[in-house]
Amino acid sequence: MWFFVIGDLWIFACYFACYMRDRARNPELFQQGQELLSQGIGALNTVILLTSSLFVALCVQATRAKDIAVASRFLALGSACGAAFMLIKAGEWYLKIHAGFPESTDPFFIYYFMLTGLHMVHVALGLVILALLWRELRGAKEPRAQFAETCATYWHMVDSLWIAIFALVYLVR
Amino acid sequence: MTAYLRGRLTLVWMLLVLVTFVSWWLGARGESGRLGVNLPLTAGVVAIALVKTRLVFWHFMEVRTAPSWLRWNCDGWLAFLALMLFALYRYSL
Amino acid sequence: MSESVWAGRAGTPRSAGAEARLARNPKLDQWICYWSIPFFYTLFGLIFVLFGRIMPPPSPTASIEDVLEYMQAPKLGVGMALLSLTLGLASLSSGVIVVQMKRMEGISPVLPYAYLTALAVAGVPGCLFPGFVFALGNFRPEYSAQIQQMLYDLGFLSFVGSLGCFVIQYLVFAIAIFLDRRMIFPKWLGYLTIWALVTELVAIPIWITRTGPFAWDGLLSFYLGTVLFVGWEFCMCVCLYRAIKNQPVEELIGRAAAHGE
Repeated sequence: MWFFVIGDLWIFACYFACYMRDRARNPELFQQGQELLSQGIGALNTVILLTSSLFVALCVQATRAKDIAVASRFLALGSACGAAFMLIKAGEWYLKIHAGFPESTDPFFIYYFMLTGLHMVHVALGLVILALLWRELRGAKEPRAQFAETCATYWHMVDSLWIAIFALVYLVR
Repeated sequence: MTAYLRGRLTLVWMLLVLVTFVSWWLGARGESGRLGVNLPLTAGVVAIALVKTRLVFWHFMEVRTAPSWLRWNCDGWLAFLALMLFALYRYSL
Repeated sequence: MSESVWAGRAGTPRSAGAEARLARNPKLDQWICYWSIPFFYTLFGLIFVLFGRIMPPPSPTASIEDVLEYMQAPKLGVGMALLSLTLGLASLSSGVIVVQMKRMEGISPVLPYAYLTALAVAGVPGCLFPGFVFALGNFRPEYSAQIQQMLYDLGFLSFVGSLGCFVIQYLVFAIAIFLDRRMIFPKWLGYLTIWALVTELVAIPIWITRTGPFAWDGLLSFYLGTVLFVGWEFCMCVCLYRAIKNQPVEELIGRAAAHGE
């Protein structure tokens, strides 16, 4: 899984690099677009995802200690946060699309939707992976701590990517 | 359950949330200078993001206790990202 | 249904010649299909890069003179004619991949067929249709400049924009690899497949923007995805080679014996 994480991090690094370069070439345009975003919602989403990461990390600790009931609870909480993130993001997208864009080929918004969209795909995949972990915790006689670690690693990667996206898309000037 | 919540990871989480609010405050407050660009603000926000990511790597993903090649890889990616993002931004202006 | 071409019809015993061939090279059918892959991709390179100059793509904002010059290039017509004849070779490669997928244990039997169909469906807008569009523009120079422009746009939008169609193919393949208990293909290939999937999704904005990294000639929408695809295809060939090589001959003969004798 770390093989995948490292590769994915480098792929996103390419996207971030292009974003920063294009942003520097068009500061006013990007700034205008950024002002239409709600930094508050971005911050809220960041906190939600950080919290979900905490719960997933604690789930791994509990699984190692063979405390499966507690692990399951943490996993449920973590997944709920992840689902909340997706709902809020979907709501944010809906509002943005409804409000219209300053220009139909506005590069800032293309980046915004592509970066957050790609990230959403990762979150969705992450929820599937967490569901698989849930199945392992509930079903297997001896839930494997290593499997929990693998799933958690993916989820934390998704969290770190969002940290970067929040900073670059919502905050940077 | 509360036993787990009283551990190191929760402390890290609190720090992360705090730092998130700091960067949000920075982002909201900073005036856009000439051409809507504020380099110190950008540097600050990017630096904070990288610190947060390192915390997530180090504690949540347990890179702290990982073999050295992984630690180097993660730190390397972070350092590279920091340099590249800032350099690209600064020199494309 | 027999897995091997040497099985013969159920109930009929194999001839001595077939037995000898089976003993010498039981996987010949798979190897022929396997080697069609590099052959096909070499052709693909010739057609799309040298003849058609479709890769790397010219700009969406090219002037009308450049567009006309591009569409009327004689090599484009040759390339597209060659494409229409040879695209079917891709079916040999997907066939051999599916045969290996069917060896997997623990996966839904639907997955190999889903892969086959997804690839076939994606190949139409991805390769064949742009081929026809460019060929049309090339062989009908009497069309107005506006129509040629439309054909130019349509060809590239279809060629690059259909990257998303391949997503389901990749997804199915990755799921099969991860669920497979026999590890016919290594897990890292599954991860590579997910990367290919992710980078191909970035081709979505090419319909909206004509400049920048998200245009059809853009760094992110075209180059990143294509580079990763080339890497993926290369790794796929390596893994497929190993999978065919490591396939126990008894698997072929065993099934053949069950069905042929």
